[in-house]
Amino acid sequence: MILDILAGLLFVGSFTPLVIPMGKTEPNFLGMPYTMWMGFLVSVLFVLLAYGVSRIQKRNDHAD
Amino acid sequence: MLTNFLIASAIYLVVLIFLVRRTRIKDKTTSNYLLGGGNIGFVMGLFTTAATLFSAFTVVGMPDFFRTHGVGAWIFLAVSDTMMVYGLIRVGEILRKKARHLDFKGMSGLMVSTYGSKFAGYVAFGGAVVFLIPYIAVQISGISIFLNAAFPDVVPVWVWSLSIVAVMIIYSETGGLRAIMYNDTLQGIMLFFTIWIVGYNCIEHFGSIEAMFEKVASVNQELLSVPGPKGLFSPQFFIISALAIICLPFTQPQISTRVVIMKSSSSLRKMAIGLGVVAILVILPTLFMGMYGAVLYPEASTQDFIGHVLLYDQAAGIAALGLIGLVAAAISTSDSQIFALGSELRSLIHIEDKKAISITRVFIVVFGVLALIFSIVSTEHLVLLARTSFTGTAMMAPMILTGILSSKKLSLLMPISTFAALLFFVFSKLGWLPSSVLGLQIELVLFGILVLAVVLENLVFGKKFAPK
Repeated sequence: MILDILAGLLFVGSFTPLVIPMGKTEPNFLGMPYTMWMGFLVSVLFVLLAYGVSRIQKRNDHAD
Repeated sequence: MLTNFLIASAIYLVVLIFLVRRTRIKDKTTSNYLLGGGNIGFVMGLFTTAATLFSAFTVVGMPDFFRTHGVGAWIFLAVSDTMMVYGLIRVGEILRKKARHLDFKGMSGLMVSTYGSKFAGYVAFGGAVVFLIPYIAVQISGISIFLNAAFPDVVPVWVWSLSIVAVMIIYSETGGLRAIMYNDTLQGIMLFFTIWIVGYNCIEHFGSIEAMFEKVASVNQELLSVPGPKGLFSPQFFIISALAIICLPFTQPQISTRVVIMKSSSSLRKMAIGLGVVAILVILPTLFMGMYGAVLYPEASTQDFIGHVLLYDQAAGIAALGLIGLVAAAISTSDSQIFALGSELRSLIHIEDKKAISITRVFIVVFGVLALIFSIVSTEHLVLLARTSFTGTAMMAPMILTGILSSKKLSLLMPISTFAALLFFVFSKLGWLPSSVLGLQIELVLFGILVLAVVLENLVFGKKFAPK
């Protein structure tokens, strides 16, 4: 449930100026423009959240 | 380069023939032919799903998207793909349980069972046919035109198209879904290595990723932020794309079948996580290719740019591999889509299994031939349907997800409203109906209405029809 809420917040946040500010390239990170590294970070976070959910589902399967 | 390409093609075909012989099925049943035996492990599941998901669009369209519209293309596909992975893990297991319970043969058949009405199945099948065949056709025609441009005057464009469709149909007919999955694995590995070699060469040109972005900034600063130089990447565009892509595992039958036939829940979870990692790793080199094009070929046509980045700017061996990788990407998606349309049809037929399989095999050829014809006589309307393929099939998501997730006896509200939404969507794309309402794009409006229908179904109609 907590992971679902986090995923929901990340989903909504992905479409806000937090991730996609219009016309903004700063601050850079390792030479990458803002939207690029932020987008990359969001992708990695979604994979990590998916991994977290899969671990919980696995535990539930074993409990069954 | 023709010699290199022919040698690479010959090796590729030999491996294909070997795989076809290994996977050949003599006594074909729905289980072993259409569902690949239903016992797919994590590694093969990952490769076949990835190869099916990452089409020629990934190799051609994504570098071009980065080149033309900038880094926002990452949000459009990579972020949406990883969102999809989360959704797949969340809903995939429920789909698998329902599929086992209702003797899954295809999503259309599953809709007939869950809604208790053939109409729901016809809507799911019709939606798949209307949007997938143009998509397959446009992929085949795009690759054929590209091959013709790479080797002018060797054979006409239609011969390239015919060869691609013939290869797909032969191995699909011989070994069924398992043959397709083995070939997907081969094609997926090839696509992955090719795209990374080309991507690495693109970074090498600049010296480093930092230098690459600096150079892009000096050419066109707007490429480094949203909405991009042409203003394409608006929040609405991203939301619509994300919704369409998140729904793919349930709205595109070639992917939902793979979800259902995974060996175990554990295999599905590993496959989904792997898919998220692969999505990032496959899309990353297309960013490098796109930025390379933005600096060196900003004004070139898509075909010219792809020709340079994949072929003319690469060593001869890599160029041949690039071409084969491109063909492999198109084939691995198209064969699965054609085959999935056959499976969908099978799931709607209730006759003896052997007869049903014979009919399905005939229709797999028919769907292949239709795609071939449309690829040769590609019209503006077909291209439009192909371009909107993912969004179009996403219109079916509320109906399909309600069917999968609901435990109530369902009314016909969802199938009817989905049918109406699909018609409205197609007509608005054709310019016969408005494409936006109060500043909202029609896709979002229709999706909103369908979500409202889901609420009504669950709160009003579902209860009303629920068994006592």
